[in-house]
Amino acid sequence: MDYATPSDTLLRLTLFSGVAVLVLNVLLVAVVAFVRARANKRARHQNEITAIWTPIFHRAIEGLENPALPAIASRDQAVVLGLWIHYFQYLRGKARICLRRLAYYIGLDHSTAVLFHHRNMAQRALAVVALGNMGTPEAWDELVRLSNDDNPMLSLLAGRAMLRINPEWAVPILLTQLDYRDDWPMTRIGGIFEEAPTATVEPHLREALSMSSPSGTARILSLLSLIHVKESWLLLKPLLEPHQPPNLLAAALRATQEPRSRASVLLLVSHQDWVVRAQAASALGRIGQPGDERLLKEMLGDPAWWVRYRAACALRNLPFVPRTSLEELMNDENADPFARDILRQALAEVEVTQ
Amino acid sequence: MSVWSMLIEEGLGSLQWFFLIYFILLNGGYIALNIFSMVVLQRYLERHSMDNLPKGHSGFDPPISILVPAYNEEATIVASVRSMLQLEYPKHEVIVINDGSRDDTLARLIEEFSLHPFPEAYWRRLPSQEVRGIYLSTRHPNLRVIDKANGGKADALNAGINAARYPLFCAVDADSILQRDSLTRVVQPFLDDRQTIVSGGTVRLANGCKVRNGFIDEIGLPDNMLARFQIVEYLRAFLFGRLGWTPMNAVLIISGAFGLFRKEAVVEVGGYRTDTVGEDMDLILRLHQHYRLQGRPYRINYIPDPICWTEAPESLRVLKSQRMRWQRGLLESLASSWRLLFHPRTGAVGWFAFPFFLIFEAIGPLIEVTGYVFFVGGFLLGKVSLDAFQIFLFVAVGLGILLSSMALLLEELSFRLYPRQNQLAKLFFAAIIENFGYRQLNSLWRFIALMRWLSGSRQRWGNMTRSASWQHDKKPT
Repeated sequence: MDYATPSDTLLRLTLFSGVAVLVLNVLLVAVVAFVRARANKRARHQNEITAIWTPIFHRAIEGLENPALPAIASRDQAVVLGLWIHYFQYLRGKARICLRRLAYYIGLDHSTAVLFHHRNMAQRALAVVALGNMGTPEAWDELVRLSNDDNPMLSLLAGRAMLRINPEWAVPILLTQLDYRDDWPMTRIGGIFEEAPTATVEPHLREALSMSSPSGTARILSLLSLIHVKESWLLLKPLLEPHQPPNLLAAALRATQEPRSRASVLLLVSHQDWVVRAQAASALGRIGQPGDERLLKEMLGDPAWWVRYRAACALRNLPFVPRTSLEELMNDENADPFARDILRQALAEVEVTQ
Repeated sequence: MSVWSMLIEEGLGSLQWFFLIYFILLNGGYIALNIFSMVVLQRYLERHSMDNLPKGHSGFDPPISILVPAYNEEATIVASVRSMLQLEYPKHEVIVINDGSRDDTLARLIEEFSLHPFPEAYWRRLPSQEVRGIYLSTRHPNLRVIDKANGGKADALNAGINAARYPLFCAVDADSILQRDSLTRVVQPFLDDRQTIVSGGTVRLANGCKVRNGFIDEIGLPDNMLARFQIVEYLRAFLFGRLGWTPMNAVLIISGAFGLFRKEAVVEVGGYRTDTVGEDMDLILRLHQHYRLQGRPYRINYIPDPICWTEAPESLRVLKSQRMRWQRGLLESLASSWRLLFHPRTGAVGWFAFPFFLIFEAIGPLIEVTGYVFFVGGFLLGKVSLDAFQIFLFVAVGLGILLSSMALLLEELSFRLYPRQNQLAKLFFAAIIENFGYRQLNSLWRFIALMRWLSGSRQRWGNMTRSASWQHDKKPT
């Protein structure tokens, strides 16, 4: 029987594979050991650099002169820049100015120029953040280019850097991009626009809303919760027309804060899309007037649970709706059982937590 | 030589080739997944190294409902819920579903969190066993408890989905230990890509770790060898078993211990199936099937961050029961979603991931056990030479160690959760030793589960005995 002897092709092949696997295993152990040693060495070195630069940054923040400043080796640029960004983001006012001055003095502007073109994304991101923090106007064109990058993280960081360098120029560019950049997470956009002065954003926001696509408009509308826009009802009026797409109507209703939008909202309480009806009920809870109580009570019998719930919460929250009238409805055995159940829940939510 | 013996020898020769080819395909597949994972991991770490810049505006983070099914969890439920209430996230609610516990789970919750009966207008979108009552905490308005008749984990989750207020829900095991930032991390795919419907993360083993106030305080390794083998196994399963499928949008399993779902997507496919023991995998497969066959864009994402810790069984009896249950769950899930297989519209799921799981994970134990029997039997009967036997053993063990070493390398390149040199050495040692008995035992248990499933016998639930050693502030090794 030949097949089971080592001279067989199959066995030779298997033996050869086994040896290759053994060599690979030894190599892998060596690689893991090497990776561990390198990471430890790097961490130690980073700690040393941090220990050197921390007191320097502290003195600079306090406005004190640093007697001797060490040179930054090229391999330490990212560590020092990272530390500088760390301090910068927690400071305001004069301390920031002092840190900026120190950055130029120790040549961090050159470090950012080098890292800006680095192929490692994390290092590039560091440079972009630093450019914004330093307020480097020379970097404007490159940042605008980068804000169009396919990578959402880099493009957003570039947007924020632009906003820090020149909000007047940056806001219209970013709002235009927001129209089509649906890969930009709203939570981060919110974080960026939170930093922008309201007076700068408001006029551009009005303009952007009038020119954006429905999905872009819905995103821009979310910013209304961050930026106070005077007479926003005028802005929202065309967006609350019943013919608008449901997602846009829902976004506009969420942004509705002024009683003058009431007439538009009333037109939407019987919209065919339940999401719109639910948002209309919520909006009435904020801006409703005494006559709306009846309408909201009717909405308690809506086929959609969320519409019933929002209507119940709206009734509960409206200051002019007496609690006794809600309790009457809740205990009325002839009333819609759905309405009674949801009202009972909405009232209990407040009771239990009191 | 008679015709029969010639035929037998011919057959044995062919079998050798069959086992070898299967072996090459299996290990080649895993090595390829490993290489994909390295690329994905590198990109992921680079991409997320600047996650906090710019900081998000918390008002725009989607709120999350955490669903915690609990059955006889009186020993751990209070600590678990307390830690879930402390998670760092702008807006989340915790819904504990007491699935007809026979112990004092509900009483402990009522007492500890000042629960009061709450007249909720319960919306029964998904079927579940009767809901006996809903309670709201007066101290934590974001905590509710649903008390229902026993119907199993899937049934409890369906009841929880019905009560969930928020668009995303996170299914968590009652004994899972989460990181403070678990939700912030696992929600990231939903923020980055609006097509995301599911996101899961890496589950790690808490055996040997020190836990304080419901959170991992110090990471350590257990003394128990069985638990240590499972740590290596989990590294393999999560770091490349799942990460490797992510770029193809072909992840088939999101752990039931921790996963974040878009509620409407799950409701659309009818929620969790209650007639399977693998409800987590079954749901993912049905979501793939639903979206792929309808040609709708979606993403099921997996993030490599360690976000959830769980306790591994430390006795063979419990481990056997767990592994047989997992195998049965896998078989049931694959069988119920067979339409995915080689369907022209199912892409990488139907053409790569599903066949891979079918051949190597579902039927694999049959081939592996037959292979062991063939070689050991052949050797004992003198049909396989000692050299051949030794060479096959040498390669099998070598490849087993190689895959584990690659997982350790991935861990070293990414999160380095075991920072001490002796921890690394112990893991390497476990990666070698597990090939001598542990893996074979696993194959045998899975083989038995496969046979039982084929014969149509019903799965009996084994009790998961948890030592919860980490609850006693045990020092890590």
